[in-house]
Amino acid sequence: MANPKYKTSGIPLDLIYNILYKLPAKTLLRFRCLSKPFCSLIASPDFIKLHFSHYISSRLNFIVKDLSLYSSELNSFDNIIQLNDLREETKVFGSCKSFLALSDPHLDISLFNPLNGILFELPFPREDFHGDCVSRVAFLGFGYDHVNDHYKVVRIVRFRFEHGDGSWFTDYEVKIEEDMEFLFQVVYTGYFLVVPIWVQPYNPDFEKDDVLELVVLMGRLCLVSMYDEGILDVWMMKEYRVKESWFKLISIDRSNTTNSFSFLNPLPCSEWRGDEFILEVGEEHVLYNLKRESVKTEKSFFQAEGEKQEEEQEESKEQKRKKR
Amino acid sequence: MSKLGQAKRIIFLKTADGQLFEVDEPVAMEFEIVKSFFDENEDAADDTVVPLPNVSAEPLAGIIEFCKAHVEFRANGAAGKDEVKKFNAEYIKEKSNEQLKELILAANYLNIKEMLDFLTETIANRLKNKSVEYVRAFFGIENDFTPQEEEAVRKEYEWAFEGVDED
Repeated sequence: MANPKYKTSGIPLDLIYNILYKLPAKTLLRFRCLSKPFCSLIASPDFIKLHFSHYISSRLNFIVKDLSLYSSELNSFDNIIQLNDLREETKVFGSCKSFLALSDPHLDISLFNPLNGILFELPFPREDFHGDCVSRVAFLGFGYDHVNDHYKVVRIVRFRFEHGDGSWFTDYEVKIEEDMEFLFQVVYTGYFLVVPIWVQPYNPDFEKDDVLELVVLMGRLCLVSMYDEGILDVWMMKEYRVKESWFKLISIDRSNTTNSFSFLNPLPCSEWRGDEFILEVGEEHVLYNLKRESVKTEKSFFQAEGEKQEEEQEESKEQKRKKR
Repeated sequence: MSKLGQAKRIIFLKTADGQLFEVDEPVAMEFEIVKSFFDENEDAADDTVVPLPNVSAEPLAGIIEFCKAHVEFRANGAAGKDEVKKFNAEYIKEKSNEQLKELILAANYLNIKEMLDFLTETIANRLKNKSVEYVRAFFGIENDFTPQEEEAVRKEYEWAFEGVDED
């Protein structure tokens, strides 16, 4: 690994690499000043990919709360760091590789790069192409297509019309070039309409669902649906684009878990390790254990952050739960 | 292990500065370089001395201490538990930067994966809030920026320079 251009004394370069991979993004941005070779190293796509796989995907969850974006250690609520302030109420609807996908109430979509704090808005048209509908629900998904080597943002829009009850599924594809310098710029190359491929009713129960959410868990596409009765199902597509491979991963009866939420959703994780993952439960975030089929509520996000006020709120929720 | 099974095999290691170490076999086998030495020389006599020309006595003693403890943790099923974290924290507490560098160079030469992971993590933790100048000195990196160029790079992400420890 002796590479004269780096001019370091003593410690071999591969060891220095292994140390750099374990540093947070902020530190790496500072260390671009070390020397010219290190500056270009830290900005190189290969380094960024490795850093992401060593550091971010194995360590962090991302959570939005009160107009701020936070990261915490993967599947725990330790080491919470505030990353960015957000202008509007924003939701992290997906994450993969080096990006988080965020959406605001207008369904405008941004990609956030946690490595450099850059928020990049996608010039995605506001969906407005069925003017005469009375209600619509839109859901977003973000993922990486290994086959074609690009990122995809998927939007599902459901329309209801005054006369009859029709529904449309529309998805878009956003392609982002792979060989760019992810760390410092996001180059957007355009979007194009694609024909709906896989978002088809795959199960009779699907029609009953009033809430849908697309997430990627364990590298597979998942669909979250919720019934009026308070049952939450997470469906997983075992084989991409194989309609028959959908299966029900978990089913949670809300009334058995907690009474204080209106909405429940698995948090898009960059990686799902072990049997636990984070569920967004109304305003809270809790750990869900797949094996024990239990929700761990004793420790939640903002308790871990140690905000006293929040702690008190959590306590009162705990008390309510105990009373039941 | 011999047929009688009673004798704990001892491996003899000789450092660059001529010191002889007697190490229990399971601990010595943590060192990939020692393990492959015996894999390649199956007929090596029990009193074979393995030369370690790139390691001196001080870091080797530190490495043996670490590996011995971790071999025991694994045997007791304590791997990953608080006990291990406590040991690791205590182990690293009093080590200077120079000692850490010697340890990582030796662990790298001996090829001890677990210890390398631990040391790179430790050094990353030590450096993460440090200034550019501190880290240049730590790794001996030669700065080839002109002051103007460095200032320009710095300006791009000024916020990354906030909250840095005093050197």
